[in-house]
Amino acid sequence: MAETLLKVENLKKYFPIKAGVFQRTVGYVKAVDDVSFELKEGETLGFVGESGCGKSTTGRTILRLLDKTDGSVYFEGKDIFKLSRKELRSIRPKMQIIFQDPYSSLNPRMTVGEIIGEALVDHGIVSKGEVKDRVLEAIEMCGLAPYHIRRYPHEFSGGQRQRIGIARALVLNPKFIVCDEPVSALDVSIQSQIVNLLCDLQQKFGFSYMFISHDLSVVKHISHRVGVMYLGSLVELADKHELYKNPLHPYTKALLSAVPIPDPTLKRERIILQGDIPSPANPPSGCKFHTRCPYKKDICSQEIPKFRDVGGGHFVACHLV
Amino acid sequence: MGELLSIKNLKTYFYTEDGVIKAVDDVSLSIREGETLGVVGESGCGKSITAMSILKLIPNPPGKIVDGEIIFDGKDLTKATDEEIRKIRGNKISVIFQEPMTSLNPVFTIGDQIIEAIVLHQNMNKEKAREKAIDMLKLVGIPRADEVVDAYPHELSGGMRQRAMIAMAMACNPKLLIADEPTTALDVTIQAQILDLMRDLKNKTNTSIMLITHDLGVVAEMADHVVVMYAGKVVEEANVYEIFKNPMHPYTLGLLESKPILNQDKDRLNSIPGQVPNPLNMPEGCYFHPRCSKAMDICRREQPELCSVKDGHRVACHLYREVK
Repeated sequence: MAETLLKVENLKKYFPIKAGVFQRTVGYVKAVDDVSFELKEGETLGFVGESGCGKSTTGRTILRLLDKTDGSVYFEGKDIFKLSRKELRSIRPKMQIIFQDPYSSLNPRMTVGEIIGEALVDHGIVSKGEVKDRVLEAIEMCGLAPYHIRRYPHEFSGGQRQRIGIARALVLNPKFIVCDEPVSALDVSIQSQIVNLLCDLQQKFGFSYMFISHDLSVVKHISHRVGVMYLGSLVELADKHELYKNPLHPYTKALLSAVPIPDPTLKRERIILQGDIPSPANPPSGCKFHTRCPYKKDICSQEIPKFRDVGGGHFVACHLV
Repeated sequence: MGELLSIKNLKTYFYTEDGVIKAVDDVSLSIREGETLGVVGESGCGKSITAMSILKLIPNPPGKIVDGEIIFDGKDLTKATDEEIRKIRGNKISVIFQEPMTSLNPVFTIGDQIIEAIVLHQNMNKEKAREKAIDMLKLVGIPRADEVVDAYPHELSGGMRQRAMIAMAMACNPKLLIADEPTTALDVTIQAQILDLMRDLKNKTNTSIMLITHDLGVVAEMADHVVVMYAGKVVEEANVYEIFKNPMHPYTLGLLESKPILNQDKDRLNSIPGQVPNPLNMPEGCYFHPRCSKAMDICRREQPELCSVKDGHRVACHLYREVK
């Protein structure tokens, strides 16, 4: 069994809502509300959920791009929220992120070579003379050509920009990469190129990915295990085959049945959820899903269900299971 | 089923400083009454421009319908005057856009915006139109319709806004509903709600739908007939069962294989190499040949024509020339 690389315990991230002349805090948006999981070396953990469910915030809080409200994150056994600035900085190259929007995440005034090489120089990982070699190596691995390093981001298509984003993460030789919707902004035929690239790189370098996406089909393809989030909390987490074949939480079931499958002959039973996602500033009591759940019972509106292992590493938070 | 709309050899070009962009290049398609036509393709393939051309919503300049006919109800819309086309917009043909956020006017209430169309096209007074607006909102499954009618767009969620858009589009009982990526901006569970609603309304009112999307899953669920577009051209056309069972054009095949499918396991995704060509600098011959694994000599020289290979299955590819 591979070593545990990342351990997240009861992570919470609340954003204050300020109002009035004095900007008093009148409430909190509970973007991440008590999330716990582990990630092993070389593993891909997929995170799915609808917009606003806190999957991106979770990713960013784990990297300490945002400060936590509560809980802890252990990376290689060290609690990253207890590290000093200097220690944190030395660990940063090992934890990278690839962003969703390849248009706004690259500095338009820098050449591709500068974008990819910047962190190498800043962290002093290699000597000045070696920077170019490392950049070229990374760029080739991501399927771009050497002459591209003198160009600017606007000269590239969306798919190519995403490759630049990946090269920028890759060049630091990281262990853990948060992929925050890396293919959502791309066309179908380009999506598969990027997904394949991410898979190839993982095989070669043994990266661990936290793969965030709202596309359940893509997440299933790329992940080893998948977690489903709803309103800031994990409701289910299991091996992907287990999760997709045997979903236990009513939300996971509804989510899976809602995904359109490109086969017109297939007739499926579809669970159509009523209503919208409640506001995370004022989440429902008890189980957060009870307002839309077709199987709701009395206990669901009163008690928060525990996120527990029901066997074989299949975690679920539901009173009915 | 009679033909409701037929587009023949439509060419919509954009004249820019850098050159002419052939956004829609010789596209022919037709929609029968009560049918849902799915138009699939990647961004920039001209699917939205085709739809906009139908209602003459192309900004001119730089855009212009250069050639072709759009026959709707026996009339050529390309030759219609502004006055005539205005009577058709929102009345016999209406549109649902992708972004429910930007396609509703933020300074008018939902009710105002629905009532406007009803008063304009149906000779109703304001009170009657308001009642009708509330009925429409109920029809699309909005709870508390009599309150929502006075709400502003920002007060509604994305799914609700899209429902309001559909209510507005359906208010005048259109014969044709053009839905331009109606669910792309929505979450899957909300998408399922909206698709369900559209199917329901179609069965109730027998409206034809032109559904523009890049999601093959949505097409499989909604469409009766499918048109696949690439770089401004139709590359394949068939009924929905045929196209998923027996896709012929290498591009269609590539699209189908490059998407991970929920109920199947694949070790590796097949991907189409390269990217969509620059519209200012289209390759010679078949536009798809630089990305095609089966490209032959003739593909680099000659542009294939869309021809019928089987009953109702048409494809534009040199591979199938002899079969004809």
